Amino acid sequence: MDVERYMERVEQYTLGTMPPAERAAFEAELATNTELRDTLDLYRLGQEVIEQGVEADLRRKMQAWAATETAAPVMTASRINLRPMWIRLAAAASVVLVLGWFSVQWAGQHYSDKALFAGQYATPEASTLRSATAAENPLEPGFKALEDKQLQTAENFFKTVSPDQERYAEAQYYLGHSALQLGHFDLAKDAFQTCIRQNEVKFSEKAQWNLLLTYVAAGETDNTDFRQLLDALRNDNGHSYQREAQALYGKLESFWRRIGK
Amino acid sequence: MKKPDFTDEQLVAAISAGGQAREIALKAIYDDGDLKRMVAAFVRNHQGNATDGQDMFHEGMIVLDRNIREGKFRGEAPVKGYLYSICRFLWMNQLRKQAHTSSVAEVPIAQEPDHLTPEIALMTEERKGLLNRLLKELGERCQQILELWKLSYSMEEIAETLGFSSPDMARKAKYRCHVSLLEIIRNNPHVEQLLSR
Repeated sequence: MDVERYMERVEQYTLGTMPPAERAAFEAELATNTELRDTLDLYRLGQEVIEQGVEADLRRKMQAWAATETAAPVMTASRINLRPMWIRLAAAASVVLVLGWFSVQWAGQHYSDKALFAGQYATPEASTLRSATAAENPLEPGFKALEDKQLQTAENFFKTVSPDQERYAEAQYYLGHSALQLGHFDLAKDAFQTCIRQNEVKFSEKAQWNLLLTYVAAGETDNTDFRQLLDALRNDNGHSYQREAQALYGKLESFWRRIGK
Repeated sequence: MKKPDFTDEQLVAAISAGGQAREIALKAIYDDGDLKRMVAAFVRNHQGNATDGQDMFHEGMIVLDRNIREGKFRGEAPVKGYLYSICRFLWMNQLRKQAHTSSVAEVPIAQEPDHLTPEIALMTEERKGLLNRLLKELGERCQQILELWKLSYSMEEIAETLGFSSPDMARKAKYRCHVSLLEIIRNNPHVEQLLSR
C-alpha cells in the first residue's frame, strides 16, 4: 500500500475540507478501492495516536498549573559593583534603607489583614451552583441581588430564610458572604457557623474556609477560635481547603507578616 | 469570580479554534476553584482521596477539551456543569472497574443528582498503551509538530514555535512526520488489533 498516494485526499476527506462533488466521488471509490479504504483506516488511527499526545501534553500542563497554585514567589537580588570602598558602603547603606522602606511597604501591601483577606477571598460564583431551573429556586432573589452587587438586599433576603425552609444551609452560606462583603463581620461569622452546623457536604467546608477569612477581614487572627479552626483545616488531609489553610498559616507566621501587620 | 471572565460561548469557541486561544480558555476553566472543590468533595464522598479528586478533575478536563474540539459538546448544559458531570462519570466508572460487583456498582449514574450524560468514549488501557507506544516510536520533534497541527495551530505558528525557517518548511515537516506515523502504524504487528474496535 502506498500511503503517500492517497494521503492528501484522505486528509481533505477526514478534515471535511473536500469539495462536495469530490467527496461523493471519494466515497464511491471507497467501496471499490481497498488501498484507499486501508489508508483511510490508517489515517483515522493516526489521528487517535496524535490525540494521545495532545492529551498527554494537556495533562503535563495541568500538573504544572497545579504546582504553580501552591508555589511561593521567588525574590532575586541585584548586584552592585562600585570600586571605592566608601562608595560601596554608602551604596550598600542606601540600598539597605531603600530595601527596608520598600520591604515595609511591600509587607504592608501583601501581609496585612486586609491584604491577606483580599488575596484569599473569592466571591461566590453563583452560576456554578444554580440549577437550570433558576426560576423555581427559592433562593433566586438572593442570588440575583448578589450577582447585581446589591449586597444589602442580598443580606436582607437571606436573613428571611428560616431554619425550617428548604436550602437553609445554602442561604446561611450566602448570608455569610453578603455580610462579609458588607463588613458585617459578626453576622458573617454567625451565618458561616450556622451553615457549618447544618453539615451539608456542599457547603460545610466552604463555610469553614470563609469563616476563617471573616476572622482575617475582621483583624481577629489572634482569636482562639480562629487559630483552632485554622489548625484543624491545615492538618486535615481530606479537607478541600487544606492547601489554602496551609498557605494562610504560612503567611501568618512569616517574617513579612510581622513587618507588615 | 471568573478571571478572566469568559462566557460559555467564548470558552467553546476558543477551545474549538485551538492554538493559544484553547490554552487560555482551558486555563480559565481550570482556575475555577469552586468547581475543583466540588469534584474533590464528590470523589472524597465516594471512597476517594484528595489526589483522586485532582486526578479526576484533570481527566475530566481532558475529556471536556476533546469533546468540544470534536463537536460532541452541544451546549445543552453549562460548560462547568458538563465538566462536573464528566468527572463524576469517570470516577464512578473507575470505582466500578475497581469493585466489579461491590456496592458501588449498585449506584447507577442515572440516580445521581443531575441528569447530564456526557458523551465519553472510554478506551481500554490496552488500546491506550498501544497507541502511546506508536506515538513514542515517532520521535519527539514529529510528535510536537503533529500535536500542534492537530490543535489547529497555523503553519506560521508551528514554524515560529518549533524554529522552522518558514511556514512552508513547517508544512513539509508536518507531511513527512504524518507519513512516518502512518508507516509506523502500518508496520506494527498489532495494527489489526487496533483497527478492529
